[in-house]
Amino acid sequence: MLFVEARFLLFFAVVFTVYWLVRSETVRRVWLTAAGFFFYCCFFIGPPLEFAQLVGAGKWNELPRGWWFPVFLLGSMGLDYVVGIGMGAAATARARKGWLALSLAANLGVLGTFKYAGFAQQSAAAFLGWLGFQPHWPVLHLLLPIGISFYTFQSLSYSIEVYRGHIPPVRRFLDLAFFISFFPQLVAGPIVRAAAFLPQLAAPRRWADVDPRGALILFFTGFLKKTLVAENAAPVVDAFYASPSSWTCSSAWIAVLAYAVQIYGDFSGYSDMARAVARLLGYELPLNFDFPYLATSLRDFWRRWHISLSSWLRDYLYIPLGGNRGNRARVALNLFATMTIGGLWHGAAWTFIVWGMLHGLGLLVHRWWENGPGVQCRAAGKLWTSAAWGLTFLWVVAAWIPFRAPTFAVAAQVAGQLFGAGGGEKAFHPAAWALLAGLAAVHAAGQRRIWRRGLDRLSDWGLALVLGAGLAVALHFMPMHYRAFIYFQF
Amino acid sequence: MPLAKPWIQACLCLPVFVLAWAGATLALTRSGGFPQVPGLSEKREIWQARRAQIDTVFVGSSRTFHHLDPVAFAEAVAAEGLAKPQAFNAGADLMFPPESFRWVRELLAARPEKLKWVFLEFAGIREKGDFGEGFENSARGVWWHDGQHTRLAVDHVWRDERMPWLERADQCADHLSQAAQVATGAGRRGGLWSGLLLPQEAKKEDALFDRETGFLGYAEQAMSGEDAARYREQLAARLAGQPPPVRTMPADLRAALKELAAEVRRAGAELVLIEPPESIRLSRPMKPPPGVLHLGYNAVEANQEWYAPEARCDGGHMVGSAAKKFSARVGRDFAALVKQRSAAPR
Repeated sequence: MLFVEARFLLFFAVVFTVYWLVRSETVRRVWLTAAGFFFYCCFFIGPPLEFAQLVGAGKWNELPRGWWFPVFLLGSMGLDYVVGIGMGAAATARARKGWLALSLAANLGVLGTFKYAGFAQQSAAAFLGWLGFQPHWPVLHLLLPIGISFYTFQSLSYSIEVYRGHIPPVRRFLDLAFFISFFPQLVAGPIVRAAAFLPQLAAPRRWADVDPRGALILFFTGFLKKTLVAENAAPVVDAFYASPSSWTCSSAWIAVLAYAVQIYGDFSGYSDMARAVARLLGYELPLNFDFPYLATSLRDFWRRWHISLSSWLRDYLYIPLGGNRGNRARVALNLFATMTIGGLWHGAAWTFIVWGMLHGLGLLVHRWWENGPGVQCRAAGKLWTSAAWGLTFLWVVAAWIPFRAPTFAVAAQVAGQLFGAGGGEKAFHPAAWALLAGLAAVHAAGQRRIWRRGLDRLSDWGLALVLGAGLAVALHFMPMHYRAFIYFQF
Repeated sequence: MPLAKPWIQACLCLPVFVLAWAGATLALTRSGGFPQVPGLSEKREIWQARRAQIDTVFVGSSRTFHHLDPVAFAEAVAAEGLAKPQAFNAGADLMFPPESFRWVRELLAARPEKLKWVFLEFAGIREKGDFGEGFENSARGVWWHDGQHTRLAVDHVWRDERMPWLERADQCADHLSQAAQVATGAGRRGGLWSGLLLPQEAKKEDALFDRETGFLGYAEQAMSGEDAARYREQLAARLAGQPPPVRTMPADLRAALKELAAEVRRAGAELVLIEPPESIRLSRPMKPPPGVLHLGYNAVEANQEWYAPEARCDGGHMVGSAAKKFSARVGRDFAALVKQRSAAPR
């Protein structure tokens, strides 16, 4: 059930109506938790009526694969609830640490098993094969529970925050279950910190505090990003990556730039819609994207791209590893390791790890530059800022190549093509450059809040008119088959 | 001035939103013309360009698209002493009612000036699941879901008591959601970037038919080896047994056909139902509605030459040379039918 699907809108209409009609905050949370589980189950069980019929008939073997995955979600909640209570009752720091270790081991154990066991096995087999051994292991093909990376990190944030004493342990299981299963962010983030969300449960939600107008604009913005931008860019990118060697050098540039556009439109579109849906229910989710392609350094980029993940990694990995403390080598190692793990978080493949390493390397170079030669350059003002933006953007776009490519061979082929090596005769229409330039202009105008200010100036009638006509345009030009959000696979 | 009650304001804004949406959808749909449907859009373009010449059109599935050669058909008709028709094959793979009915109506909407004969493949309504999900949710699977044809599909599915009710409900819901997709124009101009940026050859891979006739014959590669042996066995088993009884047309299909025949007549043409040879399993003639011209070849026993393994490239289709002979046979039979009809007292 995707945010852009009519069935989601139907589901949300029911959830929203019942939620605001109910007065009791507890009943509301029960309702949203149940809705969260239903939403999550829809990714695994197929059509609910068919599933119910199969269960009723006792045809367990015919149930869709992974129908029992929601049990993990429940397990993660249950475990961290017990951990929280345990930490609250623990008399010594050692005992608290023990509880935290249990949470880390269990959550990361499940994540590791489902997401990385097959990858580790294949990598080990390849390595042993390279050494000359021929391991005969059964091949692991585990189905990945959707959203596991997101809810595991979210659940862990609760244990860690309680351990650090930033928040008290929740007393009601319902509150923790509600926090983790809150459907707007359940399967693809933003990764909400317990310390940012749980305090919102202290006071009852009131419709008077909701800004429906702002939420609708945000949802519509996300909808446009997904349908008009990401979904339309995808076939062009797919056509190129299906056989990169048959395309020209300029087409390679168009395709890698189009992928940068696609992944941004896809993920930030999802995040916008998630935040909008949460707002309509009276909750605030953190900002996840802040015009990342306008960043003037990689550090700036990571303050603007997937902010909820980068800040999670900073606070729960980079800083505990030592952060900026220690000598240069130690800091460099902390940074590089954090980014590499960040790459691995995205997917169990070496291409993702290399993507993380490229960003780690870029951040190290930036760090060295900023503390040395860059000091003088900064005095050059706008020229320096433009050059810094250009370099950052090129690095980010280049790093997307291994992220998108199915193998290193394809990534190397594409990277070579950008510089004229290899390539064929097929070419995208030159209008692609105008299209990309237009999107860049829209992106830049977005940062200056030109669109938002224009919409804010409209009366409610005018906004209804614009949204209605805009929806018609978006539906008309969206592809007949939309893909699942890219980050669902992580 | 903002109203005191925000919910009243919201309720009043909703109709504005819906009207803006509906108005813009209508404007985009009207200005956009026929949607991009692989296999049909290009045929429609040709049809429009030649609407002042074509007098005979074939509509149906692969058994029409790949079996009815307009050239062989026209020559056979001319050889029987009738005026040589200007025929065009508007068939497409997997085109069955209700889509074929909708397609006939689309062709008539272009107001063809000389159209005299509409050959429509006479087939039952195929159910969802017969084609595979990839096709059913494609532009081809969706485009024909206007009110009239969705109603026909939904009625047919809902009355089919061989299916459990849950499956029927599921199929009806699919048809209704596809109708909603058509009504809202969702995906109608999809692939904005790919349409603009992808090279022409990548976009027109499916348009391999002859642009003059709309026909595409299968390659001369008859079945061989195990396939041929299995086919011979099936054929022998069928011929050894009792021929299956003639199928009765479901009431909903009969009514829809009657309506379509009347529309074709109003456009100045005549509907001819044709049953091309099917696969052995599906080879079973259907009783045509009274008053509609009918050419039936879907019975193994009476049409063995079209079922010979040498004439077939697979269990359900003929090779190109057999298709040409079949087209000539249809032309001769059609000429005889026309003569018989003109000789009959009115």
